[in-house]
Amino acid sequence: MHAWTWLLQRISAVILLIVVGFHIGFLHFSNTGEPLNYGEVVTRLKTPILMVFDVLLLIFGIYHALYGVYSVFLDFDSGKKERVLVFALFVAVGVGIVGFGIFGLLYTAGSL
Amino acid sequence: MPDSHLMSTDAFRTRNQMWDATGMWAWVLHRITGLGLVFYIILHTVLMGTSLLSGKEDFNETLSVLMGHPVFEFLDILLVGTVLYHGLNGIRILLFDMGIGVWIRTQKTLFWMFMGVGAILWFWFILLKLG
Repeated sequence: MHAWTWLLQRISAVILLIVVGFHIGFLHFSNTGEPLNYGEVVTRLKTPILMVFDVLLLIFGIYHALYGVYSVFLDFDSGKKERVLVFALFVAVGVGIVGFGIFGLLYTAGSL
Repeated sequence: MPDSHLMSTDAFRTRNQMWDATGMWAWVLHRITGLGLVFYIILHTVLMGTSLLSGKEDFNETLSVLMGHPVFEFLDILLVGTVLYHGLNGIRILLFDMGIGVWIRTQKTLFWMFMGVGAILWFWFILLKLG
């Protein structure tokens, strides 16, 4: 299993290079320097491609982040039982955060 | 104790050798920036999610602080620097994993090339932000 999760860490890295670059660039330089307002966010999230980008960022960003912490944990000595337990815990946390994030995005876009 | 800890300061004969261990420092900084970004992405998701869900007024109030207060402007610049380091050094790691430029001197050259690109992008971002 470790080989697949490791590979997915590399794949998510490549996706994040693109999506994070767009996310930062777009958020900073597409508005006029005024603070972002709620109405603008709603308009953006009603644009399918921007919604897709935010969802991708959530899924791959949270995966990459949590797997990163998991690989720090792997650098310390641990037993098989501990590893499975910690991995399961991280999956639960990840699913929770991604689920909450997607719910927030869809709700704001008025899709729920 | 001859265990799995391959890298320790005992491995270096002189101070210069330790400071010249570019790959080791690159790794240390990759880990520190990574953990910082983990903290940030979770905070960012939860904060944006809750303030969007609590409605228009709360969201606008939160964003006027996050995108207006000088402290947050400074933190934003720091965040972009962190992302640039982690992303560019990450490209080097991906290239290494694909077997591109694995010779140690190529690695060092690649590292400093990416750092040069990162410094330029960061400087550009700061100019755009302040300008």
